[in-house]
Amino acid sequence: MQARVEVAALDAAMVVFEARVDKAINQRVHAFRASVLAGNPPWLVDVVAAYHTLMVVYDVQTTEYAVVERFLNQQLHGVNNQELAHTGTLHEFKVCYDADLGMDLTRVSELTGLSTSAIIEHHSAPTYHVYTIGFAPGFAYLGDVTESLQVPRQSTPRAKVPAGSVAIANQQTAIYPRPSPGGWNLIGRVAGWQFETGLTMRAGDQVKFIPISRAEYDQLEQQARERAND
Amino acid sequence: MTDMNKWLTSSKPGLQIEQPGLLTTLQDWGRFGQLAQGVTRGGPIDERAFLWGNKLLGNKATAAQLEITLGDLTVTALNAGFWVVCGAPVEVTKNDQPQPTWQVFPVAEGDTVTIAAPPRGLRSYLAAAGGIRAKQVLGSVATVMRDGLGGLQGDGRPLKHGDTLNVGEFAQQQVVAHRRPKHAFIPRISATSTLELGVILVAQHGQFSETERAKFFEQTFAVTAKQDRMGVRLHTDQPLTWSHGEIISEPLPIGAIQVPPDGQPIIMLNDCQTLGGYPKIGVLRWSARMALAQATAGTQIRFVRTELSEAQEEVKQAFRFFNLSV
Repeated sequence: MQARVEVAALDAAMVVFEARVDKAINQRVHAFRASVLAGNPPWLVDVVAAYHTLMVVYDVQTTEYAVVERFLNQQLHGVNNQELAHTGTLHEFKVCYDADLGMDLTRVSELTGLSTSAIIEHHSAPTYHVYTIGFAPGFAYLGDVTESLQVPRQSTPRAKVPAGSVAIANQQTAIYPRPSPGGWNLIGRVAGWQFETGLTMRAGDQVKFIPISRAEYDQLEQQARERAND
Repeated sequence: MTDMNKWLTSSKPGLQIEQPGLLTTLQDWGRFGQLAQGVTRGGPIDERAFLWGNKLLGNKATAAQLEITLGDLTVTALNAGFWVVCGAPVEVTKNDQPQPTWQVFPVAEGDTVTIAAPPRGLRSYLAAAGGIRAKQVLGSVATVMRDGLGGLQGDGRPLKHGDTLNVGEFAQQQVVAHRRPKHAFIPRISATSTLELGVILVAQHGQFSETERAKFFEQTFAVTAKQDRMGVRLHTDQPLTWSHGEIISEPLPIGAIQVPPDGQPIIMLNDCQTLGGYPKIGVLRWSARMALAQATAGTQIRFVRTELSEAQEEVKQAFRFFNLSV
């Protein structure tokens, strides 16, 4: 597997794979992350994977860069000879694609020429891959959005996007874990979304969106509120 | 939850915020091991001042304190205890009597302590023997406003008038009133001399052209007012040029120097995003990041190259001195 190990910070190394946003490359990054975690070296503090990079944070009080570098190179060699069958958890989210929840459905429809029902169909058909998590706690970058549904980000971000909003931007889709500003196009909302739900997702996992009716959405929201008040 | 409640009951009301100043937040050492979930570290920007506070009081190195940005804080003690203020050189009073910084002082119930706006530097740390206690969120009380995590109520809100904070119990023998570091240990903060910040070469450094790399080390940069707990924007008359187009977002370490399209570098601090999409030309060594933590707008800085081994030795010695283990 072609990758190189570099210094990332005074307590971190970066493993850099081929610089492309590509599911196969990203799966290798996650397989490698799993092998680093399985190796469980005593100096390991944190491992964070992005699209084609993996940062390994280590304890400078008990080890040094050369040791970390050697370990990572050995692991890279080991992964090279393995089948890269990374199996992440599958998360299923029920989404209501009503126009008052997905405030940009009209814009997406205008930009793509797709009807609302076609947008729903295109968006909910694939099983998405979690490329990485960042921007905010539990914000998972999911891909790939089918080409006919790809639309650019809004030129002016919304000041407040509601939590649980399902959004698309170019080849990616995501769920906003908390109310926050955001520039992606909102097309629906997850029923019963909790901030903690986002924290259960890991890079390398899979995500499926299941379209539901407004009635079911309202019912699930009601149940979630009752649970929260318990 | 039960453990947490038990832990909170071994504390009692310690102080009340009368006036929070511009920005006062609760900070412990921060959240670790959760970068992969997008959870940033948080924690004190001036780690050195924070660690001194806990050391002087005999606290655990990571015990929570107040981080006060640009002073103007008034608090009331709700119980007898021992406090210390470290960080920027600032006027501190207890019941209108001047009180030296970097020196442990006793407080009695009802005492009023103020921290004025610092003439130099940015941040002060108010520590109490026993450490400030609050409910942990994701393993820490560190306030990260951007993430909506930590602080008194766990939602990332800065402290406001009327907030009451608990302080943990402490053993009388752990505290020595009037204890202070040797004078030479107290970091000097100058508003006029040029700061030399040590940088380790990382990431895209080698992909900047030779001219740009030379510019990075030869010219002077100014700290701007565009700074917060996420990062510090610099200004230079000759912006740096990156000629390779956009890069794919990567994990972003604290202290990284990012070069956005306008060529004016941004140095990332504790509350920065876990991923960044700008090329990085280097990362600060620990003492450089601590110096930057107190650098007000207008401070001139110059970058100097540091070897990784030297930077690691420095942080190892510092953490050993403060008895800090990750």
